Amino acid sequence: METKYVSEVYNIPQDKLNQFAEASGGTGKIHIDPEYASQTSFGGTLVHGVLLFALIEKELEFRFPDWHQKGTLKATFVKPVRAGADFVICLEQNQNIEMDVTVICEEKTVVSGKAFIAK
Amino acid sequence: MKEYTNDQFSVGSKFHTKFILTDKLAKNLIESLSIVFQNGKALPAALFSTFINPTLKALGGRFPQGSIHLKQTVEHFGAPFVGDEYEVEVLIADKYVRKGRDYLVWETIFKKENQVICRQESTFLLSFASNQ
Repeated sequence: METKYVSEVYNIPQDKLNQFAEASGGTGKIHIDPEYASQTSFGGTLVHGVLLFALIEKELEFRFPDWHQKGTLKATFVKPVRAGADFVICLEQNQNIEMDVTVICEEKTVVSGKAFIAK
Repeated sequence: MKEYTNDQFSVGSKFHTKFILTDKLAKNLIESLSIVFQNGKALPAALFSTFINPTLKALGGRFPQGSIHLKQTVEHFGAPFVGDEYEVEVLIADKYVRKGRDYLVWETIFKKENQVICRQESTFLLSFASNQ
């Protein structure tokens, strides 16, 4: 893998969130009920953490064929991602065997983590 | 569906269920993630992160509305396949209160034929984004 990789721009609209919620079971109102979510401190519906996590894994799995057998990902959801917001996934090889993983939305880090392949 | 409270869980307690990865479920999840994969019959390992229903089923309810996902860890030891039947074990790893807020940490293990295929740890802040 190149030293640093930046994904295509992702954008998860409300209908895609609803589709994911139905398929996964993540049907919390903060994800699928815009009226409810508009009255919370977030002001709108949020992309599921596990959806972001799965998209990070999708990027890792595409680049590392052994990911499904040896991959480990640890992530912290630093800030929420609103439905319809653009974001990118960044993977950067650091000086150790790990990769730094970040998700950037509106120029802010919203997910921060580490990934590595066990030997 | 009943909502969890932190009071009902004891650290160290374990919950179990079984889960079959059907073709329909796999297709729905893959489509919702817009994943294109080319790895023979193996499905994307990323799907494990999206198996929310088995955890909810094992714990016997749902998280309180407005609960927020704070941290997630996943370790993979094999790919998922359509038709896999998993034994799912959910361990309450920790729970605590900080600044009056309830936090819950649990580990989910997916086993296939007694082999661990995926291990996850999740940390949630319960009822954070409640209606104001």
